[in-house]
Amino acid sequence: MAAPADQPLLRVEGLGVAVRRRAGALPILDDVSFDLAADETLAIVGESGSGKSMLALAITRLLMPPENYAVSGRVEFQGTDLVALPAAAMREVRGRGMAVVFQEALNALNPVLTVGRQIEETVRRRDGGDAATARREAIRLLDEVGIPSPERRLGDYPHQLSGGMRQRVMIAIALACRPALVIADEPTTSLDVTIQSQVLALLRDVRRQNGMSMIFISHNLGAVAAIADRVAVLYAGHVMELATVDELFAAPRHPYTAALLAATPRVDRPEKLAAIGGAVPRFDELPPGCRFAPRCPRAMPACSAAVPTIRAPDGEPGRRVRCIAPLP
Amino acid sequence: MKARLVPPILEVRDLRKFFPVPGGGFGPRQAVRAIDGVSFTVERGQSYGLVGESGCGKSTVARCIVGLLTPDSGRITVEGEALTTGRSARGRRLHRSVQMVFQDPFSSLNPRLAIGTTLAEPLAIAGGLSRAQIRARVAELLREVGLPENAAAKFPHEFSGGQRQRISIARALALRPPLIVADEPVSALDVSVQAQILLLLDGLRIEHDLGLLFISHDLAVVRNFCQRVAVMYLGRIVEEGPVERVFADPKHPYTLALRDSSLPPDPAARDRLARIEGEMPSAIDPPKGCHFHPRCPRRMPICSVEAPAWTPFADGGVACHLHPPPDATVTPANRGT
Ligand SMILES: Nc1ncnc2c1ncn2[C@@H]1O[C@H](COP(=O)(O)OP(=O)(O)OP(=O)(O)O)[C@@H](O)[C@H]1O
Ligand SMILES: Nc1ncnc2c1ncn2[C@@H]1O[C@H](COP(=O)(O)OP(=O)(O)O)[C@@H](O)[C@H]1O
Ligand code: SF4
Ligand code: SF4
Ligand SMILES: [Mg+2]
Ligand SMILES: [Mg+2]
Repeated sequence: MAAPADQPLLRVEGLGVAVRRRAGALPILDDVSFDLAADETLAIVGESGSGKSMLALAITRLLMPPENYAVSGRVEFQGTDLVALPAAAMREVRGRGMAVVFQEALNALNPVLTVGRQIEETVRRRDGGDAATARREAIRLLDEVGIPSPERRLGDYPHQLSGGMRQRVMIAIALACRPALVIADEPTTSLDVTIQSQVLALLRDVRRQNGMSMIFISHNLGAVAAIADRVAVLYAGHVMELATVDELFAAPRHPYTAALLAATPRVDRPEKLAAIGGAVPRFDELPPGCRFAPRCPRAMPACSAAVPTIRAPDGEPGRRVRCIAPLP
Repeated sequence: MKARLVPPILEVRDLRKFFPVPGGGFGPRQAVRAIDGVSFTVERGQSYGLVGESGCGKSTVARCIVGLLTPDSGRITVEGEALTTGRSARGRRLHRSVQMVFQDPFSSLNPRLAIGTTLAEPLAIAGGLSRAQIRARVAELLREVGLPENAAAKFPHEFSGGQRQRISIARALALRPPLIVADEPVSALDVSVQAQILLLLDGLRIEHDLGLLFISHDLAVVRNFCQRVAVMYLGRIVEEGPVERVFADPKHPYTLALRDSSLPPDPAARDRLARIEGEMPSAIDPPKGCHFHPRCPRRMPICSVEAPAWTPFADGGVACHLHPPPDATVTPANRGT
């Protein structure tokens, strides 16, 4: 079933994920909604534990074991709701529609198979075809992700490669599915800056050349600014702000976004840093109302009365802010 | 060399540390050339940044300075006293008083000791204080790093990563050292907490006139919190100087690459996404000549043959054939400071 032209590639609506525990369900992600257009990069930015990986795993239905999680809301991908999809159909979606690149390529790759084997298997799962064709395609993919002398690298095992090269292999495997959507969860976080910059440039280029969409998950605002078209800011399981990358960095509307920017040192000009007091709340001790209220310099009693709804600030229909008193 | 009244807090001269390659039994003896002739000077009250990619030797420098490793050769002096061997009584005392803050806030504290015990330990070993005085000093330390007094009775698992880094800093401060070596102290922390710890360290540095050797792979942090910086590549310092000069006008192509790979939180900079090629090679068999030449966009024929000498500037210097020294006999080892 083809999606109508005006529909986004991915529409996440009111997504919630709770962890099932003996003591009762612990809600983590709550009321997460966003659209992703074809040929677009959406960054999900947030501090450790804010729920970024859980969001990626909920969209791809890779939360394991599934019975430990209660997922609510809708994840519409190419017009189909994935939340209710049978497991076999979901595997088909993951094999052809969407691919994931994880932070730790060493864990995500199979340690006892050569990288050539792993790429070839992905190619054949998708296209069928003979071994020679799959091998040619694997070489082409390794070349596309900038691995020098790809024929010779086919026989390497993951541990023989550097972190940067492993991440390139992960990207090659993702491309082998020819997906409409790539979800990259902190793909450059454990890499050195020069390698991070190479991998970011690579992701940006292959996304454009293959006309894919991307969800780029990171806690690094510099990487987000370099690669994203739009940004969702996640804090303690809530989307606090959703805006285009230019709007967000030029004029943050949510106090948390503003605080995050003010706490980030810049390499291009020294600036006085402003720390955010306190710490991210634990999910079993969430404050009432706005989850940022205990640390927010603008907090007032009304902030703790109810969870603020996420809505467009005055005069900015394309933007969403979850705050009762957004910054002007 | 100009005469000086006070010796610097820390002077490192021509430090070298190689590690044997495990299992490298046959053929010529191989070694990981972790640091190979490193020299720099940290002044009282100064925050000195040591930057470079992982594996370039930063932690090895730190571990030599605090006495966790014995260098193969070179000289380390603290307030003018040599502590390279740590054999003299004063050398040992200095060694003890040069304290380190580690990157990982989860493994650097003993999980079985209450925070108060962890902080009292160095004070008790140093001697000279009564129990009541130790208790008072522990309370003072907790206050200084912004923790409540009742933290003394708690255990590491009751604290967040940022709070544990505060405890590590308190422990480092216990003996009022002249110098703290902080090895990636904020790398494991979230941005919002990272800024708290950076501001804390900076305040303590100013208040106690501390020397701070601040090791980081994050150039943005170094630019904002250090006065001087040394850039390391494969065991050597390739450029050194005041942060403003080094960042605004890097002389070494590697410094430039490192700076331009560090992305500011600003979409206007997105088209500058740098594409420095290749990766840092192994320290077992570093490239001949200039270690950086296989990745250098400006390499010349001489670069793969001859290691560039140290070229001193009025303040700082660089090791690159693009900037030959006026007198080719100057090396990092004998340059004046
Ligand atoms: N099975 C589980 N049981 C309890 N809590 C869980 C479970 N799975 C995830 N969580 C919690 O959900 C929250 C979100 O986790 P998630 O891994 O999505 O964070 P993240 O934003 O990806 O963080 P990081 O930047 O560290 O990768 C965390 O507080 C985590 O501890
Ligand atoms: N104990 C050790 N034994 C063998 N090699 C080591 C040891 N410690 C460090 N090295 C090697 O020395 C080099 C420098 O390491 P390190 O000082 O930890 O770098 P950095 O802190 O800059 O990441 C690396 O190649 C590393 O693998
Ligand atoms: S709702 Fe209130 S506490 Fe929350 S971010 Fe807005 S002003 Fe701050
Ligand atoms: S010495 Fe040569 S190769 Fe090395 S950094 Fe300078 S120009 Fe580049
Ligand atoms: Mg994660
Ligand atoms: Mg290190």
